[in-house]
Amino acid sequence: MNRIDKKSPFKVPDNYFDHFDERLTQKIKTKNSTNGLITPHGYFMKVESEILNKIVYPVQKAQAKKKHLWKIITAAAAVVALFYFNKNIFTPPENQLAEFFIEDYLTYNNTYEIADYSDYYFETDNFLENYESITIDDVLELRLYGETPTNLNLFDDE
Amino acid sequence: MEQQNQFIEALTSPDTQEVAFKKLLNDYKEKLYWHVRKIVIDHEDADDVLQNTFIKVFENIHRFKGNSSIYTWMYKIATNEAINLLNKKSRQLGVSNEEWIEKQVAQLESDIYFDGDAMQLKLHKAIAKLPEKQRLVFNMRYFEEIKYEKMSEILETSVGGLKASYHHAVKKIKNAINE
Repeated sequence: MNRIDKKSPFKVPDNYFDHFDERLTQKIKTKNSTNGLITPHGYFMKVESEILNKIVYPVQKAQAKKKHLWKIITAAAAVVALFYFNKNIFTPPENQLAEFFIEDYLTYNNTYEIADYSDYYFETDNFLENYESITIDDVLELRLYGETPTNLNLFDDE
Repeated sequence: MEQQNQFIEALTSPDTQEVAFKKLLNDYKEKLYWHVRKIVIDHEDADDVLQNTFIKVFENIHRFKGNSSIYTWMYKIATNEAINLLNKKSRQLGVSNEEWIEKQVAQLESDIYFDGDAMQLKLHKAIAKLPEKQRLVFNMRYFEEIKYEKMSEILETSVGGLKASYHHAVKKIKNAINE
Protein backbone atom coordinates (compact mmCIF):
# COMPACT_ATOMS: atom_id res chain seq x y z
CA MET A 1 0.00 0.00 0.00
CA ASN A 2 2.78 2.38 0.94
CA ARG A 3 4.22 2.02 -2.50
CA ILE A 4 1.06 3.39 -4.10
CA ASP A 5 1.21 7.09 -4.79
CA LYS A 6 -1.58 8.89 -2.95
CA LYS A 7 -1.59 11.70 -5.44
CA SER A 8 -4.88 11.76 -7.39
CA PRO A 9 -4.57 10.33 -10.90
CA PHE A 10 -7.43 12.51 -12.11
CA LYS A 11 -6.77 15.71 -13.97
CA VAL A 12 -8.79 18.85 -14.65
CA PRO A 13 -8.48 21.33 -17.53
CA ASP A 14 -5.98 24.15 -16.98
CA ASN A 15 -7.33 27.01 -14.80
CA TYR A 16 -10.49 25.00 -14.18
CA PHE A 17 -11.00 26.31 -10.65
CA ASP A 18 -10.01 29.90 -11.43
CA HIS A 19 -13.39 30.96 -12.76
CA PHE A 20 -15.52 28.15 -11.37
CA ASP A 21 -17.63 30.45 -9.16
CA GLU A 22 -18.36 32.83 -12.00
CA ARG A 23 -19.37 30.04 -14.35
CA LEU A 24 -21.60 28.42 -11.75
CA THR A 25 -23.34 31.71 -10.93
CA GLN A 26 -23.86 32.32 -14.64
CA LYS A 27 -25.36 28.86 -15.09
CA ILE A 28 -27.76 29.29 -12.18
CA LYS A 29 -28.78 32.70 -13.43
CA THR A 30 -29.36 31.44 -16.97
CA LYS A 31 -31.43 28.57 -15.68
CA ASN A 32 -33.58 30.95 -13.67
CA SER A 33 -33.54 33.85 -16.09
CA THR A 34 -37.20 33.34 -16.95
CA ASN A 35 -37.93 33.37 -13.22
CA GLY A 36 -40.76 30.87 -13.40
CA LEU A 37 -42.38 32.26 -16.54
CA ILE A 38 -42.82 29.57 -19.18
CA THR A 39 -44.22 29.32 -22.71
CA PRO A 40 -46.57 26.78 -24.34
CA HIS A 41 -44.80 23.74 -25.75
CA GLY A 42 -43.26 24.46 -29.18
CA TYR A 43 -44.18 28.14 -28.92
CA PHE A 44 -41.05 29.53 -30.58
CA MET A 45 -41.48 27.31 -33.63
CA LYS A 46 -45.14 28.26 -33.93
CA VAL A 47 -44.62 31.99 -33.49
CA GLU A 48 -41.97 32.05 -36.18
CA SER A 49 -44.34 30.62 -38.78
CA GLU A 50 -47.16 32.91 -37.57
CA ILE A 51 -44.97 35.99 -38.06
CA LEU A 52 -43.73 34.80 -41.44
CA ASN A 53 -47.33 34.27 -42.55
CA LYS A 54 -48.12 37.89 -41.71
CA ILE A 55 -45.21 39.27 -43.70
CA VAL A 56 -45.87 40.34 -47.27
CA TYR A 57 -42.63 40.54 -49.18
CA PRO A 58 -42.39 43.24 -51.88
CA VAL A 59 -41.73 40.58 -54.52
CA GLN A 60 -45.20 39.23 -53.86
CA LYS A 61 -46.55 42.78 -53.95
CA ALA A 62 -44.87 43.31 -57.31
CA GLN A 63 -46.44 40.12 -58.63
CA ALA A 64 -49.85 41.29 -57.44
CA LYS A 65 -49.30 44.64 -59.18
CA LYS A 66 -48.25 42.85 -62.36
CA LYS A 67 -51.41 40.78 -62.20
CA HIS A 68 -53.45 43.94 -61.69
CA LEU A 69 -51.63 45.63 -64.58
CA TRP A 70 -53.13 43.17 -67.08
CA LYS A 71 -56.56 44.08 -65.82
CA ILE A 72 -55.76 47.77 -66.24
CA ILE A 73 -54.32 47.37 -69.73
CA THR A 74 -57.31 45.26 -70.82
CA ALA A 75 -59.75 47.74 -69.33
CA ALA A 76 -58.02 50.73 -70.96
CA ALA A 77 -57.90 48.98 -74.34
CA ALA A 78 -61.57 48.10 -74.05
CA VAL A 79 -62.49 51.72 -73.23
CA VAL A 80 -60.58 52.98 -76.26
CA ALA A 81 -62.06 50.27 -78.51
CA LEU A 82 -65.56 51.05 -77.32
CA PHE A 83 -65.19 54.72 -78.17
CA TYR A 84 -63.61 53.86 -81.52
CA PHE A 85 -66.26 51.38 -82.69
CA ASN A 86 -69.21 53.33 -81.35
CA LYS A 87 -68.32 56.80 -82.41
CA ASN A 88 -71.12 56.78 -84.98
CA ILE A 89 -73.73 55.67 -82.46
CA PHE A 90 -72.72 58.24 -79.86
CA THR A 91 -72.77 61.12 -82.29
CA PRO A 92 -71.17 63.48 -79.78
CA PRO A 93 -72.20 67.11 -79.84
CA GLU A 94 -68.68 67.89 -80.97
CA ASN A 95 -66.02 65.43 -82.16
CA GLN A 96 -63.60 67.11 -79.85
CA LEU A 97 -65.75 66.30 -76.85
CA ALA A 98 -64.90 62.60 -76.96
CA GLU A 99 -61.21 63.42 -77.27
CA PHE A 100 -61.38 65.84 -74.36
CA PHE A 101 -63.26 63.41 -72.27
CA ILE A 102 -60.98 60.45 -72.89
CA GLU A 103 -57.89 62.57 -72.46
CA ASP A 104 -59.12 64.02 -69.17
CA TYR A 105 -60.32 60.67 -67.99
CA LEU A 106 -56.97 59.03 -68.60
CA THR A 107 -54.99 62.02 -67.31
CA TYR A 108 -56.79 62.62 -64.04
CA ASN A 109 -57.39 59.06 -62.97
CA ASN A 110 -54.62 56.75 -61.96
CA THR A 111 -54.52 53.33 -63.55
CA TYR A 112 -56.13 51.62 -60.58
CA GLU A 113 -59.05 54.03 -60.62
CA ILE A 114 -59.47 53.52 -64.35
CA ALA A 115 -59.64 49.77 -63.83
CA ASP A 116 -62.23 50.19 -61.07
CA TYR A 117 -64.32 52.69 -62.97
CA SER A 118 -64.23 50.61 -66.12
CA ASP A 119 -65.87 47.69 -64.29
CA TYR A 120 -68.84 49.91 -63.62
CA TYR A 121 -68.55 51.49 -67.03
CA PHE A 122 -69.14 48.17 -68.78
CA GLU A 123 -72.07 47.33 -66.56
CA THR A 124 -74.06 50.52 -66.75
CA ASP A 125 -76.84 51.02 -69.26
CA ASN A 126 -76.94 54.68 -68.53
CA PHE A 127 -73.60 55.52 -69.98
CA LEU A 128 -74.92 56.71 -73.32
CA GLU A 129 -77.51 58.86 -71.62
CA ASN A 130 -74.93 60.35 -69.28
CA TYR A 131 -72.47 60.86 -72.04
CA GLU A 132 -74.95 62.71 -74.20
CA SER A 133 -75.85 65.02 -71.34
CA ILE A 134 -72.32 66.49 -71.26
CA THR A 135 -71.60 69.41 -73.50
CA ILE A 136 -68.29 70.70 -74.75
CA ASP A 137 -68.85 73.72 -72.48
CA ASP A 138 -69.11 71.43 -69.46
CA VAL A 139 -65.74 69.88 -70.21
CA LEU A 140 -64.10 73.23 -70.91
CA GLU A 141 -65.53 74.65 -67.69
CA LEU A 142 -64.23 71.68 -65.78
CA ARG A 143 -60.78 72.26 -67.25
CA LEU A 144 -60.97 75.95 -66.46
CA TYR A 145 -61.61 75.29 -62.77
CA GLY A 146 -59.14 72.43 -62.65
CA GLU A 147 -61.87 69.88 -62.01
CA THR A 148 -61.85 66.33 -63.31
CA PRO A 149 -64.45 64.54 -65.47
CA THR A 150 -65.18 62.14 -62.63
CA ASN A 151 -66.90 65.03 -60.86
CA LEU A 152 -69.67 64.59 -63.38
CA ASN A 153 -70.56 61.41 -61.51
CA LEU A 154 -70.60 59.46 -64.74
CA PHE A 155 -69.35 56.35 -63.07
CA ASP A 156 -70.87 56.69 -59.62
CA ASP A 157 -73.43 54.16 -58.51
CA GLU A 158 -75.65 56.87 -57.10
CA MET B 1 -20.35 47.40 -38.39
CA GLU B 2 -19.53 46.28 -41.93
CA GLN B 3 -21.22 42.97 -41.20
CA GLN B 4 -24.31 44.77 -39.92
CA ASN B 5 -24.46 46.99 -43.00
CA GLN B 6 -24.37 43.91 -45.21
CA PHE B 7 -27.13 42.32 -43.19
CA ILE B 8 -29.30 45.45 -43.41
CA GLU B 9 -28.70 45.49 -47.15
CA ALA B 10 -29.84 41.87 -47.30
CA LEU B 11 -32.94 42.79 -45.31
CA THR B 12 -33.90 45.57 -47.69
CA SER B 13 -33.06 43.90 -50.98
CA PRO B 14 -36.07 42.03 -52.49
CA ASP B 15 -33.91 39.09 -53.56
CA THR B 16 -32.44 38.40 -50.16
CA GLN B 17 -34.83 39.83 -47.61
CA GLU B 18 -36.85 36.68 -47.06
CA VAL B 19 -33.80 34.68 -46.00
CA ALA B 20 -32.37 37.59 -44.02
CA PHE B 21 -35.63 38.18 -42.17
CA LYS B 22 -35.88 34.50 -41.26
CA LYS B 23 -32.39 34.74 -39.79
CA LEU B 24 -33.32 37.86 -37.84
CA LEU B 25 -36.41 36.13 -36.52
CA ASN B 26 -34.48 33.05 -35.60
CA ASP B 27 -31.72 35.00 -33.83
CA TYR B 28 -33.89 37.35 -31.82
CA LYS B 29 -37.33 35.85 -31.27
CA GLU B 30 -36.48 34.26 -27.91
CA LYS B 31 -34.45 37.17 -26.56
CA LEU B 32 -37.17 39.66 -27.48
CA TYR B 33 -39.92 37.39 -26.20
CA TRP B 34 -38.40 37.15 -22.74
CA HIS B 35 -37.69 40.86 -22.68
CA VAL B 36 -41.33 41.60 -23.52
CA ARG B 37 -42.75 38.86 -21.31
CA LYS B 38 -41.12 40.36 -18.22
CA ILE B 39 -42.73 43.68 -19.03
CA VAL B 40 -46.27 42.47 -19.78
CA ILE B 41 -46.18 39.23 -17.69
CA ASP B 42 -49.02 37.48 -19.57
CA HIS B 43 -47.96 35.05 -22.32
CA GLU B 44 -50.75 35.98 -24.76
CA ASP B 45 -49.89 39.66 -24.44
CA ALA B 46 -46.19 38.90 -24.94
CA ASP B 47 -47.08 36.89 -28.04
CA ASP B 48 -49.05 39.83 -29.50
CA VAL B 49 -46.24 42.26 -28.76
CA LEU B 50 -43.58 39.96 -30.20
CA GLN B 51 -45.48 39.50 -33.46
CA ASN B 52 -46.19 43.23 -33.78
CA THR B 53 -42.54 43.99 -33.07
CA PHE B 54 -41.25 41.79 -35.87
CA ILE B 55 -43.84 43.07 -38.31
CA LYS B 56 -42.86 46.66 -37.46
CA VAL B 57 -39.19 45.78 -37.81
CA PHE B 58 -39.84 44.35 -41.25
CA GLU B 59 -42.00 47.24 -42.39
CA ASN B 60 -39.60 49.90 -41.12
CA ILE B 61 -36.22 48.37 -41.82
CA HIS B 62 -35.60 50.97 -44.55
CA ARG B 63 -35.88 53.64 -41.83
CA PHE B 64 -33.15 52.06 -39.72
CA LYS B 65 -30.32 54.56 -39.84
CA GLY B 66 -27.59 52.28 -38.56
CA ASN B 67 -26.63 54.67 -35.75
CA SER B 68 -27.03 51.85 -33.27
CA SER B 69 -26.95 48.08 -33.60
CA ILE B 70 -30.01 46.44 -35.08
CA TYR B 71 -30.38 44.59 -31.78
CA THR B 72 -30.68 47.88 -29.90
CA TRP B 73 -33.18 49.18 -32.46
CA MET B 74 -35.32 46.05 -32.16
CA TYR B 75 -35.24 46.18 -28.36
CA LYS B 76 -36.42 49.77 -28.56
CA ILE B 77 -39.35 48.81 -30.78
CA ALA B 78 -40.23 45.84 -28.57
CA THR B 79 -40.07 47.97 -25.40
CA ASN B 80 -42.29 50.65 -26.94
CA GLU B 81 -44.76 48.07 -28.18
CA ALA B 82 -44.91 46.43 -24.75
CA ILE B 83 -45.47 49.75 -22.98
CA ASN B 84 -48.11 50.74 -25.54
CA LEU B 85 -49.93 47.51 -24.82
CA LEU B 86 -49.77 48.15 -21.07
CA ASN B 87 -51.10 51.67 -21.60
CA LYS B 88 -53.94 50.35 -23.74
CA LYS B 89 -54.92 47.58 -21.30
CA SER B 90 -54.72 49.77 -18.21
CA ARG B 91 -56.66 52.57 -19.93
CA GLN B 92 -59.42 50.10 -20.80
CA LEU B 93 -59.74 49.18 -17.12
CA GLY B 94 -59.24 52.73 -15.88
CA VAL B 95 -56.19 51.84 -13.77
CA SER B 96 -52.51 52.79 -13.86
CA ASN B 97 -49.89 50.61 -15.58
CA GLU B 98 -48.49 49.65 -12.18
CA GLU B 99 -51.93 48.57 -10.95
CA TRP B 100 -52.44 46.55 -14.12
CA ILE B 101 -49.10 44.75 -13.67
CA GLU B 102 -49.81 44.05 -10.00
CA LYS B 103 -53.11 42.50 -11.09
CA GLN B 104 -51.30 40.34 -13.67
CA VAL B 105 -48.75 39.17 -11.12
CA ALA B 106 -51.49 38.39 -8.59
CA GLN B 107 -52.90 35.96 -11.15
CA LEU B 108 -49.54 34.26 -11.76
CA GLU B 109 -50.16 31.50 -9.21
CA SER B 110 -53.03 30.17 -11.30
CA ASP B 111 -51.34 30.91 -14.64
CA ILE B 112 -50.58 27.71 -16.58
CA TYR B 113 -47.55 29.46 -18.05
CA PHE B 114 -45.91 29.99 -14.67
CA ASP B 115 -44.09 27.24 -12.84
CA GLY B 116 -42.04 29.28 -10.42
CA ASP B 117 -41.69 28.59 -6.72
CA ALA B 118 -42.80 30.78 -3.81
CA MET B 119 -39.57 32.75 -3.86
CA GLN B 120 -39.84 33.52 -7.57
CA LEU B 121 -43.43 34.59 -7.10
CA LYS B 122 -42.35 36.88 -4.30
CA LEU B 123 -39.71 38.41 -6.56
CA HIS B 124 -42.30 39.02 -9.31
CA LYS B 125 -44.62 40.65 -6.82
CA ALA B 126 -41.81 42.90 -5.61
CA ILE B 127 -40.86 43.86 -9.18
CA ALA B 128 -44.50 44.58 -10.01
CA LYS B 129 -44.63 47.19 -7.26
CA LEU B 130 -41.81 49.21 -8.83
CA PRO B 131 -42.52 52.30 -10.93
CA GLU B 132 -42.41 51.53 -14.69
CA LYS B 133 -38.91 52.89 -15.38
CA GLN B 134 -37.36 51.11 -12.41
CA ARG B 135 -39.14 47.88 -13.38
CA LEU B 136 -37.77 48.07 -16.92
CA VAL B 137 -34.25 48.86 -15.75
CA PHE B 138 -34.28 46.11 -13.14
CA ASN B 139 -35.47 43.45 -15.60
CA MET B 140 -32.96 44.48 -18.24
CA ARG B 141 -30.04 44.68 -15.86
CA TYR B 142 -30.74 41.79 -13.50
CA PHE B 143 -32.24 39.16 -15.81
CA GLU B 144 -30.96 40.12 -19.23
CA GLU B 145 -27.67 41.60 -18.05
CA ILE B 146 -27.83 44.36 -20.65
CA LYS B 147 -25.01 46.86 -20.27
CA TYR B 148 -25.96 50.36 -19.10
CA GLU B 149 -24.61 51.89 -22.31
CA LYS B 150 -26.90 49.72 -24.45
CA MET B 151 -29.79 50.26 -22.07
CA SER B 152 -29.21 53.99 -22.34
CA GLU B 153 -29.75 53.79 -26.11
CA ILE B 154 -32.84 51.60 -25.80
CA LEU B 155 -34.56 53.60 -23.06
CA GLU B 156 -33.12 56.97 -24.10
CA THR B 157 -32.00 57.71 -20.55
CA SER B 158 -28.57 58.70 -19.28
CA VAL B 159 -26.33 55.98 -17.84
CA GLY B 160 -26.31 57.84 -14.51
CA GLY B 161 -30.11 57.90 -14.44
CA LEU B 162 -30.25 54.17 -15.19
CA LYS B 163 -27.78 53.34 -12.44
CA ALA B 164 -29.82 55.37 -9.98
CA SER B 165 -33.02 53.61 -11.09
CA TYR B 166 -31.41 50.20 -10.69
CA HIS B 167 -30.04 51.13 -7.27
CA HIS B 168 -33.49 52.23 -6.05
CA ALA B 169 -35.13 49.16 -7.60
CA VAL B 170 -32.74 46.73 -5.88
CA LYS B 171 -33.24 48.48 -2.55
CA LYS B 172 -37.03 48.28 -2.82
CA ILE B 173 -36.96 44.64 -3.92
CA LYS B 174 -34.68 43.65 -1.03
CA ASN B 175 -37.04 45.35 1.39
CA ALA B 176 -40.08 43.69 -0.16
CA ILE B 177 -38.51 40.23 -0.06
CA ASN B 178 -37.35 40.63 3.54
CA GLU B 179 -40.77 41.75 4.73
